[in-house]
Amino acid sequence: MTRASSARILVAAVIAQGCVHREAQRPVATQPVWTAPVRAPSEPDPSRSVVIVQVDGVDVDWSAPWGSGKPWTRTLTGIAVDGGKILVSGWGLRNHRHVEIQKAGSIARATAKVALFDADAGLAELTVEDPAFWQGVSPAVLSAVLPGQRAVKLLHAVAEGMRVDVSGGVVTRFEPSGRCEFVHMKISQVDTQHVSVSDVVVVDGEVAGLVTNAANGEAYAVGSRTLIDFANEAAHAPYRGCATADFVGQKLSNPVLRGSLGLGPGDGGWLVSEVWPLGSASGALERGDVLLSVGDTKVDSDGTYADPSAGRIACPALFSQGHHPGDVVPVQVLRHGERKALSVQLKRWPGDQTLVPWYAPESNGYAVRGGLVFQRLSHEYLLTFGKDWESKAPPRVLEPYELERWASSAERQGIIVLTGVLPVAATLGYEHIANLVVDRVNGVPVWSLDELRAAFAHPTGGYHVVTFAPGQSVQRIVLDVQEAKAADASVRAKYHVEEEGVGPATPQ
Amino acid sequence: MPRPRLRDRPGPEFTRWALLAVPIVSLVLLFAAGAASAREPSDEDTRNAVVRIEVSRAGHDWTAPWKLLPPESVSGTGFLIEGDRLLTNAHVVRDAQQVTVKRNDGSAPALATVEAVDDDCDLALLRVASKVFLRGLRPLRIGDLPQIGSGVVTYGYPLGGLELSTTAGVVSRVEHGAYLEGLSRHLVVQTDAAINPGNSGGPVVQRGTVVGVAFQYVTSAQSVGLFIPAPVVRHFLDDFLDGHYAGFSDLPVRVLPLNSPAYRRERKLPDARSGVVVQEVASGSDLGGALAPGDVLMSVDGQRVADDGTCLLGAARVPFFHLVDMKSLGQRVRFEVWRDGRTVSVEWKASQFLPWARLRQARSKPRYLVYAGLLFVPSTLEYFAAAHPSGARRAAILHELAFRSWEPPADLDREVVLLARVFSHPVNAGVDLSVPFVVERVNGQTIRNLADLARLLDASQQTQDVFEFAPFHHVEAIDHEQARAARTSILTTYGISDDKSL
Repeated sequence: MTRASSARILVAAVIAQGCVHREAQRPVATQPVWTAPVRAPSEPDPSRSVVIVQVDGVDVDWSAPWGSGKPWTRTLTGIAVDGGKILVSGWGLRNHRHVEIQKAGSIARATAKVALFDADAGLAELTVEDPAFWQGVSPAVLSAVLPGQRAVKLLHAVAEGMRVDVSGGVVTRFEPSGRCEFVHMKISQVDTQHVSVSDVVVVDGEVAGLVTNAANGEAYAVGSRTLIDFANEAAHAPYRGCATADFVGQKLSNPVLRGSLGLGPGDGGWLVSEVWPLGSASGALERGDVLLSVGDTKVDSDGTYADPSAGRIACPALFSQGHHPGDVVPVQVLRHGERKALSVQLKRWPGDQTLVPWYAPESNGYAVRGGLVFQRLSHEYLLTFGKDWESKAPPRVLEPYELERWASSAERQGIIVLTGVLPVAATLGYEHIANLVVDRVNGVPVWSLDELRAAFAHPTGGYHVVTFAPGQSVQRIVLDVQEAKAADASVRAKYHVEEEGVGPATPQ
Repeated sequence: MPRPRLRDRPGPEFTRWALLAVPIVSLVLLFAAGAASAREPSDEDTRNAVVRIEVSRAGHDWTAPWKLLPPESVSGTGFLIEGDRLLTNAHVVRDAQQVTVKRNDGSAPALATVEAVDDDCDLALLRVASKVFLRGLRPLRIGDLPQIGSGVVTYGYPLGGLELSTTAGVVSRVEHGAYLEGLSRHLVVQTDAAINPGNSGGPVVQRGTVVGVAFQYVTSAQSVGLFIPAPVVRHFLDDFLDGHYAGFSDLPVRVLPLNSPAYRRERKLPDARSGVVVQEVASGSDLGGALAPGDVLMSVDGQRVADDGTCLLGAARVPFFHLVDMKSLGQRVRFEVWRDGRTVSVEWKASQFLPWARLRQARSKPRYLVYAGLLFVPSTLEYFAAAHPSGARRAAILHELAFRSWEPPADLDREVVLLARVFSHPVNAGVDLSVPFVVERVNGQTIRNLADLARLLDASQQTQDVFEFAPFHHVEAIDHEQARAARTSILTTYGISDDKSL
């Protein structure tokens, strides 16, 4: 899938203000009282910056989103940084309920507050109010450069032993990864039995990154430059999140195609295949444009550029390095044989605006009308079909995820699915219906739960009529308005299901 | 050996996917009155009539469609019917290069030829040239749909030995179910008589009469054997009587059982009436003049349709689709529907729905085109099963296929053409595609089907042929003259016998 790895990359961007050094923009710490660093600058000791983070949470069961899913406890590794903050990576804080923090070798635990959790970025910032916790903790030095291909140390918090384990690995390459397309380092020769998400990557006493994924002897870690950006941005009010350019492209390695586009051998260039309607590039780039440069950096024909410390990196990183939502990125394209200078104004990664979002919405997660359960189609919902969801989920709900999940528009914002039916009197005869993509309710096109609710408010002729998208086994069902109204109470009484919402609220 | 598992019907979910035959060998039919004797066949008669079928088969390689897969040996069961023919499952003899039949008495085997095969009802007829082989055998008679709860005995050659095996059980239920070999649904009878690999094609017998042909079993359950019931078998056999096998008709409608009281009231259907609500009629089908979404289908040829969609057939309730299944092509079917608050009687001549018929025909032999080292194939279940057995993309594309078969067929010749593979050659250097990709346009013209693509490329006057693919709009260009010049070199290098089979 050569194209998948490069061409279909969502061009995203996260950004610190002008890609500045951490030290240059150190926020003023106001609370808690920050102890003086105990290390000498020449002898950095990252182990004094590493803390054990215990997270308790409860997932939402998206197959029954009105109730609680399984409670869980997990341990993450945190890294103390300037300003009395602790950074963790990964999605481990999703659906958290309570977070405690602990120093290696200390039995004492302090309650931590999740000051910021950006699920799209896969990064979080924690604060701890207990001054006693900070005694003996040193802020880590975040490396301003990527380490290159070399050996690294990995620090891994172990809650049971109140300790931090050290193992090793070798950085083999760099590539943009994750929904925000942050530059990640791939680390090989990793003992993944003892390395997990949020472990700290250390090079020459400085923090080089945080692990975001580890399996099969390999780990991916987000680089420290991104951590610096994130920490700086976290201090920015309002927090702007990561930005994306939101288009995909294809390599231009075919010389005949290059010739037909009017490109010379030395021109480089990446052919724009799709521009997501709600994304940053919409209105600037067009399908068929050849992206020649981003800023001052030339884009080569394989869609990469030369990064001084990381080698060849896919060009989405040019949008995800050193920029923020709201920034304007100049680009040069070849359009219909003419070179054009254009500007892409970056927006925040429109995760929840994509047609099929990664995460199910945390609020507004479902609606029940007359015993019919509706949800917005999301990757998280597809995961309810189990480990083999790609085979088990019905094709009619997989198709929009696989083929057009980015392709939301102002009109078509999401896909509403009748995910199931709660058997009550009003749904007699429909008990076995599930996983149907909704087209209209009472004649009104429905692309969101809000539109669905509004449409249910206007039945015609005493009946609610729900129609489904073509190509499905059921096309139309009917509910009696009065029976549906009575069913709402019945659903509450029988199944303890409210008309809308989603499981227990996530603490902010 | 029969296929060892019952799959879910692959791919698209159709309410009804009735049948047609793949191209059938025309039949010189001598269903001569092999005058059945008045005596009920004994168990010994039955045992003698059941033969073991050994097949050397070499199927098509759908990922390299110009060649066959290495041969393999499989075995199944068949039995003698009137007209000196052996009846078995289509899947037993699929891709057969040689068929050998063996009697149960230790006599020498004989060669058989496949005279007719219909993948969609999974039945096939064999002819044995040797009169010696058939000597002394008494053909089995095809009976009727057995009653639920009645006893049946299966005969066959399942794995575990070479001798004839029998198992006994009862008829558990009658359903309208998926058939393994086709995109089809027909009547299926379930039994607790053990049916195992090797039983395929064997008779299921009740009081000396064949009431079905064993063909599937459910792997995820115990004692769930499935057989093709006698009415479906007879439809298959009767279809040959005129010397031309036409196959089963299609009823391209989706219906919903009228189990919802609210839906019934909304349709204003009187309490005394029953039926199913028509949900969708495939656009472009000739059924469009007879049935429409919103109709409540109340009867088929005077047989009342219950709210769950079943009709009474003898003592059994069977899905109403079965009544249409039993029609010959061109035979009239009378539907009574409830439409706009009144009863309307409509007629329809049983027919096949062209887009579905084409999809089924596409299964018999792979078609392809190699141009400039790019391998193009029509999108078929066989191709996906061979090349991309799992994953979301496959499911999504299959759904897209299914969806398109219901779409208004402004162009009934439309088929999805995929770029299946790129054979590297200087002429396609730098072409960068993950496959499969759907070919949308070539030189700005929309591609309707594989033959259309071949014609267009053949007639191209362009210096460069520009291909546009979906999803995720992808463009490639090939130098036309270089492509022509490279044809032989590419075929030779990759051992491709011909550049196309359309």
